[in-house]
Amino acid sequence: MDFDQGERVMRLRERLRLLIDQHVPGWYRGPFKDDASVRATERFCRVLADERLLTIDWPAEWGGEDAGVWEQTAVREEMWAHDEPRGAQYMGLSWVGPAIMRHGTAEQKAMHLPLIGRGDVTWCQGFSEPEAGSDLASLKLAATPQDDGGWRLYGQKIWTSYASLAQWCFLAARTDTGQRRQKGLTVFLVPLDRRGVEVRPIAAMMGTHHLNEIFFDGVQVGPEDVLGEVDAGWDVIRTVLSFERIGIPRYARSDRLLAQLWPAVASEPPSAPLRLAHARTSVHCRVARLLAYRVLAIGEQAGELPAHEPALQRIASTLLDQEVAELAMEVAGADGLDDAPGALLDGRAEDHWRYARASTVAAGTTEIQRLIIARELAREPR
Amino acid sequence: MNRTLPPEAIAFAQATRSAMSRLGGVEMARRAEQALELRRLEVEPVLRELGLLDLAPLTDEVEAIAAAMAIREAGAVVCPWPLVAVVGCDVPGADALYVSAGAPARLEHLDLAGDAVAVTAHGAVLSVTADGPIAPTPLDPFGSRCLAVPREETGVADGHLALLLGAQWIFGALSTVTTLSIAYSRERRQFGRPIGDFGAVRWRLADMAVARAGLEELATFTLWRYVSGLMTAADVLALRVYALEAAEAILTHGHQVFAAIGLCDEHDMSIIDRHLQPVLRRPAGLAAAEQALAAALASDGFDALFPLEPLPRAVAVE
Repeated sequence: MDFDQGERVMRLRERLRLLIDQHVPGWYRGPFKDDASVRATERFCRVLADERLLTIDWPAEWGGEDAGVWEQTAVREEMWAHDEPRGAQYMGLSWVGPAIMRHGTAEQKAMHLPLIGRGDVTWCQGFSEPEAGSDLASLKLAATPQDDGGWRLYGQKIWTSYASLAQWCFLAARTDTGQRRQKGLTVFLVPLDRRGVEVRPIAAMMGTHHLNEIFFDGVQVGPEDVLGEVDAGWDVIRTVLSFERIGIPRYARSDRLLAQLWPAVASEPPSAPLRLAHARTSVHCRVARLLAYRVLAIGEQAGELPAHEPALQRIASTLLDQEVAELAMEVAGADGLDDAPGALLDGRAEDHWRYARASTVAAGTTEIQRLIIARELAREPR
Repeated sequence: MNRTLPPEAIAFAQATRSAMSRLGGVEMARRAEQALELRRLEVEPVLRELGLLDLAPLTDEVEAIAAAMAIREAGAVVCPWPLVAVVGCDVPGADALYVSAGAPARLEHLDLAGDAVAVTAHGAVLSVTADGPIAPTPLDPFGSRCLAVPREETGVADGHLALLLGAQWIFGALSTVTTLSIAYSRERRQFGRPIGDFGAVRWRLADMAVARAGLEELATFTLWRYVSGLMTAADVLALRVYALEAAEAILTHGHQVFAAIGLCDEHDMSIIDRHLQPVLRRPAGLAAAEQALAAALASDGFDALFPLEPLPRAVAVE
């Protein structure tokens, strides 16, 4: 039994923090804030690529370092703790690239992986639809077969992060309308400059560029755009979901915020309400991190995970996000409404609070996570 | 990073589980409440045969882990014996250690504890003796009034080992409540189907599972901090706070799942809930634990991805 992640991981964290300190502007609060923030993420990705850290978890065959699970985790934690200075790239690096490695043709790998690995392309995920949110398998976007062996895409995606910045969409569509649920789905790799694609940003509290709609009006796609097998897209989607075992390590940003709030609350007596709330939340933060490590350790040892284990940690981590957000706003008081540098935490309180509003909704609501857990519990031996 | 327990500790925990099962599980606690002498006649021989009372968690890493895992198993059936006080005693010369907010007025199983001490929040060590026979109450079924006097020959102590093991005990008991609740939700039918089919019940079960898993991980992590010589007051108080939160959540949800039957002593839910209360309320409840933690964070700091730094002493002391 040893919870120490070792020298190698510790040195990696130090290296990442130094690079962030040197290359990420102090005003940066995440890629959704404005165009200057997007440019900052692009510059930082080039720094990481030069340092061979951008694809540290990729196999050497595709320019990676074959990093182990705890090094990968350290990268994800450090990035998220510092407002994800890879910006939109985390999506391409964390799962679009790996999904293409697993399911792509030689041509697709040669075309996409070098670009993703250098951070030169932005991807978005076209899964959710107006009528297919938590119930992903009910998606309807139609891929209508054409005489030339291709398809035309008709329909709408929604809540698509980064779509207004992205060049490519990792799109799930229904190729066989006679099939239901998970059957008859196909994943397409679709360039967003293709005729018939329209991206419309949705004004939202999380910031510019975050949420978008994408409309597909007769967009032409061919067999070369299919990832995996036609009508077997659910297998690809499952791969993607398995890459996202713990999802975003939200606890890492909460952890950093609690440390940043510490000087403000520590001047109060230990019995003061905010001091007590900070103490309590620090415990919850440790628990959320340990639950994430539990998922990673089980996955590393057993290869396969019971479905409810990631759900347990997601609930802990997303509720923590909101608890820390409330605490930060309570500590900031009325100044918490200010997003300008110079406000308490340089506006980080309000930024985290807005973003945390989505944490129990995005990537599977808390309610869905609870149902996943309960379903698995019902299978426990009596 | 390795969460795997030493094989000796796993084997010892399995042996303890078998022994608890032979004693009748929670039924032993139910019977002992009616006939106090069963603790000496039936429980003690089994614990001695196991070697649980002879473990040396202070000096041996594997024995410390084995003790913690065995105490989880004993807690799972609220075994009627002062195991946490005896195994968690780290005051030289004493047989058992109770952590107490101040001079205790009542303690549980004091008649079995030998030369017992109470350690206060300020580190003072008191000798404690029973002031009369066990005077059971529903929530303190093995409690008796006690007398406490300063123990002159002993210096200060912190009671951290007892708090650490107490949290393992609480985890065991809460784990049983969770498992029983899941099983009952599949057996009990209302409106023509198992109550576990209803969303409201499912959500309660899911929240119980989150609390159980969180406590399991934190209890194991804190145990690792202890055997690695890293455990601070803040670490053990953080565990205490989370154990009490988890208890509140799991016991509340459990009772809602069981409804009326969970309030009856014929059901294990009621026995576990009542017998767990002394461990949850002594040395003090959640509010006091949070205050102690808040003070400890200032003096110890707190290990994290972005650690909380200890405050200068002048600021840390209120």
